[in-house]
Amino acid sequence: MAATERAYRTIGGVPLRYLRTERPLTQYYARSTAEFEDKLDAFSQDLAEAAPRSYGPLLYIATAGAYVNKPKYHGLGRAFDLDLVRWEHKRCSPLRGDHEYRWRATRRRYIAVDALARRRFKYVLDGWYNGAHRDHMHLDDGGGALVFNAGYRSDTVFVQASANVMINAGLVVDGLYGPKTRRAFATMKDRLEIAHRVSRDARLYRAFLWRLALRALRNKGL
Amino acid sequence: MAAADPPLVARSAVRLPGTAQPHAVCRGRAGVVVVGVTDAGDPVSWRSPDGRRWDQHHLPPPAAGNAEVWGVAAHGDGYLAVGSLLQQQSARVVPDRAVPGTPDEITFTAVRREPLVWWTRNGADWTVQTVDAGVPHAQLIAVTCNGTRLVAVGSTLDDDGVQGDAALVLTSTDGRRWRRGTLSAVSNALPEGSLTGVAVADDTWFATSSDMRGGAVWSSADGVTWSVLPSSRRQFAGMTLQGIGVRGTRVLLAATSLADHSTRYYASTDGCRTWRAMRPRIQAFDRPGTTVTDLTVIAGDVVVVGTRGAAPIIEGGIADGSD
Repeated sequence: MAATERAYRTIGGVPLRYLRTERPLTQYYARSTAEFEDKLDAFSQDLAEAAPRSYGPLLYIATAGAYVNKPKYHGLGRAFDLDLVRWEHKRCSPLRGDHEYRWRATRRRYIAVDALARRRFKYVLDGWYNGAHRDHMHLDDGGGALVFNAGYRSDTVFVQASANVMINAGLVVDGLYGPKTRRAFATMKDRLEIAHRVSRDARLYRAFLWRLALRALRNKGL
Repeated sequence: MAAADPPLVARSAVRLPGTAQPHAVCRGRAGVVVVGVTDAGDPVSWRSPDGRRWDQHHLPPPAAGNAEVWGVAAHGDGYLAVGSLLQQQSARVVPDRAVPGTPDEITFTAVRREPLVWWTRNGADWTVQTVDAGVPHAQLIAVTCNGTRLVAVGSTLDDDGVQGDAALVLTSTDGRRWRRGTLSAVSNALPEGSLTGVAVADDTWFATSSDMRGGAVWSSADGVTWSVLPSSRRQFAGMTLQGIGVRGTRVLLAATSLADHSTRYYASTDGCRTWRAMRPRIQAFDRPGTTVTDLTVIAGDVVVVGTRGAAPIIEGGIADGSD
């Protein structure tokens, strides 16, 4: 399978843009494997479907690149850097650093996009993961099954940040899955009526992420 | 080589056997060697005595895990290739059958990614060993040799072992024992990136890097202590750099634009301080759907490897277009 077997300028019917040039590109061609493009399509459809009607339609998605000639998943055509999601009346901008934006509603929207990405891609590296991802969200499909894995810093910081933004847990976002993080995660699962076996059952984790995203997009805590 | 001599690597594009993606190319005493990775992720090499007839070989992994090969250089009578080995812990889970395609039933955790080196005398039979870089996750991407010193470059990786995060240089004289090079502390961070190429011109070593911001060129007087050339960050913003070669006093680069994926070529005649675009007469990669993965200079000619669709391609005998 060629890393660049597909070239496309929409995902799920939504146009792609590239904002990292002096003159933003309103038509951007991404390249990836066919299987990876299918996952992006599903992610795009989730973004449209999960958003409340007040957001309006999904207008475009800005990327910092899908296929590039560099080691790891970008070089395999199995990674995507997300800069911005633009609905008609709302936006989520990892490029601007929305994960630490002063308005909670904006941070919740970021959590929602993060959660929806995790329903399709095992590795989602967000603004809490490390300094390299303060201005974009990295999505790739390495790592295997779509379950919560406490061995991943990327999974744990997401749960810690979600708990802080959605239930005011007051956790240190350090990527260490200790008792406080475990308790906060359990609280979120209970309030979303999800059984606790999200590390072993992909259906449960994906259900958790979907319900979390629905609440976060509506700026409602748990 | 006299101007009338035929190029060592065929002037027209040659399709290499199989469908693996070539990553790097070099010339040694047994001929031209290309290394790459198959669709299944297995490291392979191609060898040719004349640049026309090619045979394919497998590079063995040192242990269970996923081995990758990225770079190759001639060293003494043989060749040395570099890459990495990923060791993972896995656990079985209940998959979500609602996921399109075949849902994964295993979750993996990266335990360790170690640099690997392989060596061979004949370009076909490879011996492998791991290299301890002193960090949980590290990879080697390119290697070169000036006749006595080997310099291998790559990156350390982030906590989950997903992406490169800082530059890594290892040096050796025998290919077996390696030590860390020294990097300027203010410049070794490479977010989502790595050092990607290395070459030596007379007494100066040059390396390329690519990260989220774009490409950059690094230099070293001894191959051990490195610093980035600040002007190159401006020059190559928004590009990845994936091949570097030396032709006389000229340093040549292959780059890819992050905005439109087009391949571009650059040359410097002043020690990599300034660059200008060049237009080499390349046939195979001058069309959509192609990817250049490495550029080098063999017997005075530019040689590039990459893919056209899923087909591995090598093209040589290329004048760099700046004569």
